Amino acid sequence: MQDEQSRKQDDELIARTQAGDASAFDGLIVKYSPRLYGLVYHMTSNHEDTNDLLQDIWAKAFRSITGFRGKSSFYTWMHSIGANMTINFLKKRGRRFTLSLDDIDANVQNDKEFIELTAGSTPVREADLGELQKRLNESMQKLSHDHRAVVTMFDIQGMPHAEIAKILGISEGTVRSRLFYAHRQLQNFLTEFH
Amino acid sequence: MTEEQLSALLRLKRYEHPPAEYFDRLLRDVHRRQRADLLSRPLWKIAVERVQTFFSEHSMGHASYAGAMAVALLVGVAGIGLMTPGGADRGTGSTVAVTIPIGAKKSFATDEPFSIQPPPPVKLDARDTFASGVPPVTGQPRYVMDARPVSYEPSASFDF
Repeated sequence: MQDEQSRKQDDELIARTQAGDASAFDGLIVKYSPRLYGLVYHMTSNHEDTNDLLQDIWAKAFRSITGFRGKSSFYTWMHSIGANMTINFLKKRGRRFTLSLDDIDANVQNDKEFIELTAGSTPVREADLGELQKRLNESMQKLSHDHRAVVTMFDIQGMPHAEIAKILGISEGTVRSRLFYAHRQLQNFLTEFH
Repeated sequence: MTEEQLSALLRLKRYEHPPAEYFDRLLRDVHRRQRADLLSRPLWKIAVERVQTFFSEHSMGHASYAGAMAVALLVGVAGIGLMTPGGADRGTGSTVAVTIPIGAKKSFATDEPFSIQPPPPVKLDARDTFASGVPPVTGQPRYVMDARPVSYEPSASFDF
């Protein structure tokens, strides 16, 4: 998932943070916040909750970084903290969620898959981007927290099964079965879309 | 909807981003949060969190995690018990009061071996006791738990 140079850069920043240089930790925040935002946001579907959670996650990581021994990559470690804290938050929060459709990146219009999906005679041809996102977010929210976490990491963030297994502390087989079940569920929820 | 279409739809969600300036604000918020945390968190909470992080890094299951936490807690409690002054032998020692027989005015010589002798038998007679104003003495050794004022005991003299 990470190239060697990126990992070396992380190791240096971590070592400096552990030695007491708090500004080095800022480098890690800047580097990993966008991906962590994606993980948390797609699990909560709420920008305000995501913002609060990201602060909690980074605060916890900062407090715990002296115990980080590099047995996994910092990326995996951070995502593990992020996924677990988000799942715990969702268990407490219940089913409330709102959508932040204004935040979507305009570059999606140029995405090859988007063009393919919205062109020709595909089922989503008539749907505009807002409706597409709304339907998908609603369907995602109907999944259990554990299934949503796996879908977010695999389908949206493009992580391999092994990485997800490490982050969630489950086997690769469990990751695959959760994905299979979640995809079936989403397909059922989205049938009205046809 | 096919599996491929679903996957393609999900991948499009990568384009959902917050505004560009959001991450600058997040950094400032995290700094503020860190400062507030340092001022408000008790030390034991920080310690517990570090232990949790250590175990989560080793990908332990829930059962083994709970077991490890229990062991850590027991070791901690035992450690605190041992570090407390007198904590290890508390409750095992006993306090014995050396009683001096009534009327034993004999002075101790430094070269004499010290020994504790039982008091001589005393005839229990309530009239004598109340007449002399001296409390009754039994043949059994007495302990400090006796509810008798110390002032009733004849003072022992140590003439060296």
